[in-house]
Amino acid sequence: MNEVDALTVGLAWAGIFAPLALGAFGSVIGCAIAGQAAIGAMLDVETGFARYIGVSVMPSSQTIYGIVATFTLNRTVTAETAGGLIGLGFLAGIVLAASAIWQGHCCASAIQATKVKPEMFGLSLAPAAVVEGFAVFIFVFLLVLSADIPQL
Amino acid sequence: MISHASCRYAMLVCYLPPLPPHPFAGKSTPLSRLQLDRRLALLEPEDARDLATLEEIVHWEHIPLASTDENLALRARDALTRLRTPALREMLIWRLELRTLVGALRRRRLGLSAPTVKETWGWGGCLDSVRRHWERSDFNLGHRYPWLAVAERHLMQGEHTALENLLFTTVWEHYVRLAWKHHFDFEAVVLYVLRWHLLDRLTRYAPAAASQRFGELLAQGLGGQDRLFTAPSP
Repeated sequence: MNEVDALTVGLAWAGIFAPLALGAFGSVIGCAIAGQAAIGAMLDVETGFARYIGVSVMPSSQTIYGIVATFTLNRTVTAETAGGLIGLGFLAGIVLAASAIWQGHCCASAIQATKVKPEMFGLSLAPAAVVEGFAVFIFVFLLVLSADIPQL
Repeated sequence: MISHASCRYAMLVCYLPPLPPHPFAGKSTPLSRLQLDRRLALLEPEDARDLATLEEIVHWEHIPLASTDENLALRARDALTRLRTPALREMLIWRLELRTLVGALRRRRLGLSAPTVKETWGWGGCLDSVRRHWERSDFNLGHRYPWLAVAERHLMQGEHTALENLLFTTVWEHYVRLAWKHHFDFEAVVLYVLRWHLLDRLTRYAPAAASQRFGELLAQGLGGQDRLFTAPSP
């Protein structure tokens, strides 16, 4: 195996693991941001704690998509499969990470808004749900496109 | 993408109770200074220092009554060198400019001449325009400060309460506009504290008590001489 082949194989393995690693990376940051907001809100109010905690863990879903995506991409790495694994894996991972982080921002804002106006709890989650929707698009199309990568 | 700084104080911001949408909407502050200070203890030490620096200049209770304009300008210059972020410096400069413009309006109403170049009397980029356009009602700054013409009208007509309310509203709205850009960062906390101060000042105003106190002081100052001005009995 020459140097180029070795690099390609390495990147392909990284591509397989990228959705999970980058998704988890984003979830760590997103949950931390929303979690801190939830703790702050809980210190200031007397009720509705479960709501705040529930909202603060929303950005963890990207890690779940990452787990499924990594299992789906996991196959023998060859010259034929490497390109697809690198492209799909890295691009999906980056989007999953970005969506988790920004969903954390949305959740923190939703927590703050709910604290001020509890009646807008459902509506305040709309931006976080929209961000989640983009992560789901990426996940679904990764599943669809990964079927075209040869399974040896 | 990580934007750690923009969410550094997510917990503290959510820990602070909401302020009313308008300064005149609240009858009291949502929390006392003691409670606020307890919550602000969550600030990093260097951020707490920055906030204290800003408060020293912005809030009147920290400024000795005997301070001269030169003294205030020196303190402001020192504070601007100590503040670490451009956003905080901009907040301070905006407030100093507002005070400078109100000071200029009052000075002109007293019939004084335009300040000279060497005179230290204010702060900010508006000084030159004020000096050059002393005769114009808005110092040729109406496009930047739309409230200036209204403030001048209130001042000329002796509507001091209306002027005070206008200034409160202008500062409050400016802070609200800035707060749209800062959700969970240090600037968001600073803007909360600045608005809390405005609300605190406003809600401590008690016109009835002030009027009674003024009457008492007047009676005390005049002693028995107020009888001099009563109409002679027929």
